[in-house]
Amino acid sequence: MAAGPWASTLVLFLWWFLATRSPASSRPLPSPAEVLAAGRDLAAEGLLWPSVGTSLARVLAGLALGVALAVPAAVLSGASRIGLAVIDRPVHMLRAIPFPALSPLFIIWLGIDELMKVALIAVGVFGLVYVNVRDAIRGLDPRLAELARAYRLPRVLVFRRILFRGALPGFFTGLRFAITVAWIALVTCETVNSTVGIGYVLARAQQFSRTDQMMLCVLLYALLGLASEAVVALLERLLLPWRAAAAR
Amino acid sequence: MARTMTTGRDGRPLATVRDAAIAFDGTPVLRGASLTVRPGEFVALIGRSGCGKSTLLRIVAGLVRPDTGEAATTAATAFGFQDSRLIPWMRVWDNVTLGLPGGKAARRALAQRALAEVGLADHVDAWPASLSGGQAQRASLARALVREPELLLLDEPFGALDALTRLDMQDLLASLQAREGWGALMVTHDIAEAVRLADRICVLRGGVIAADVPVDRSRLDGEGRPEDHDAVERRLRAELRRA
Repeated sequence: MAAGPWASTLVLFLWWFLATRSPASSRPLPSPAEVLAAGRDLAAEGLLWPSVGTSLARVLAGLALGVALAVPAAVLSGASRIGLAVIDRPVHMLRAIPFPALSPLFIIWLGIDELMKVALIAVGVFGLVYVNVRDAIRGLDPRLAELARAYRLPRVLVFRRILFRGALPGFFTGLRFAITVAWIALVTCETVNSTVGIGYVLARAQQFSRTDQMMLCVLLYALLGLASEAVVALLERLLLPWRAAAAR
Repeated sequence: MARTMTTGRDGRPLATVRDAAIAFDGTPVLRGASLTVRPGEFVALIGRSGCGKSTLLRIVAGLVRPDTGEAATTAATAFGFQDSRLIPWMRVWDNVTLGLPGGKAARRALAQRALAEVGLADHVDAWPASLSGGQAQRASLARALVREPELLLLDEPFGALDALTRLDMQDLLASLQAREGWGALMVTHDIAEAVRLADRICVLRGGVIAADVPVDRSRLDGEGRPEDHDAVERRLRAELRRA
């Protein structure tokens, strides 16, 4: 069945539709039509699409910063003993901190603007990408290192074509987790000095008890999460084509 | 290890190991093994499991340093591993010519010729995971031979293959060597395989080369074995059984 993976979702939406056919004042759950109307109103207010765009931009910037810092750190600690000794422990301490706890400090150090938000997301992303890439490098088949020595392969080639490519599956595992964490971090960020963003819309809706707008925000998070997953899956198919051959 | 000289060209030995000794975690494995491979010569190195024959091969390859003793080997060597050791995320042609100079197109064309030599012309663009054990070993052989070695070092290259595929691969190796004329040093625990391929068979026992048995390949039977293969095999079995 082509609709197989979506069948359960359709049933869920159907249940939602049927369960909200009573008058609006008698139930805490808004109907699908009411949520759509809330979306139309927010769009008319000029808040919906800028919020989606801003939230997406913040997540992407945080991801980019976190990945850009995590990958070199992971390569250093995965490929060298000194790197491991220097980098590993502090990173684990950083990972052990629930990152919303850093938010007050970041506000004082970095201000209440975009930099603080991006930095907080990057902290959450950093640890996950770091651990997965480091372990992927350390877990590389040592027989490939012997192959490289037996065939006197140049160091640059070994790094570029064996180490990095071999660590790519681990990178994608880390990236998947990191994307989830980035969206979680975003909700924390957007309650701080925001006038736009899905988290801001959510916080504002809470003040006015607008469950229709809250539901809309929740659905937007779900859709954006789903879209991120699809993008990662596409990247994996493009960059790890040998895995499809192995699965056959 | 004193890699003092490069050997090979102008008739000098391709590889010389003198009195190599090595211990792992205090357990001596080699206790003064000496070995020579001359140009064009096919030498088999046999011994029981764990006797150190793979270690001796790796000393010849320069992958392992002996604690004492000397080793000198021609720069033009290529190594064939038992597990074929193709890199899973590179296509077969890319594995074969990995590290060789030239652009993608040139390397692919070179690999195509080398793969045709080993009967794998149809798998140039395949992923390693899609190859059978025998095909992977052919690709591994192409990767070694495309580097135009003077000396081919083989570590039980057919040990993981089924009996029939193994015989095919032995024939392939013999015919390629007859044509290209490289020297070879092959580690194996299969006496029949050694007798079928080698000009000379070294028996490693107690950490030294305990016997150096020449094989007369001037008269071969229908199976490509020397006519006196029974006698040679009996002698090798006796050598391996000795305490």
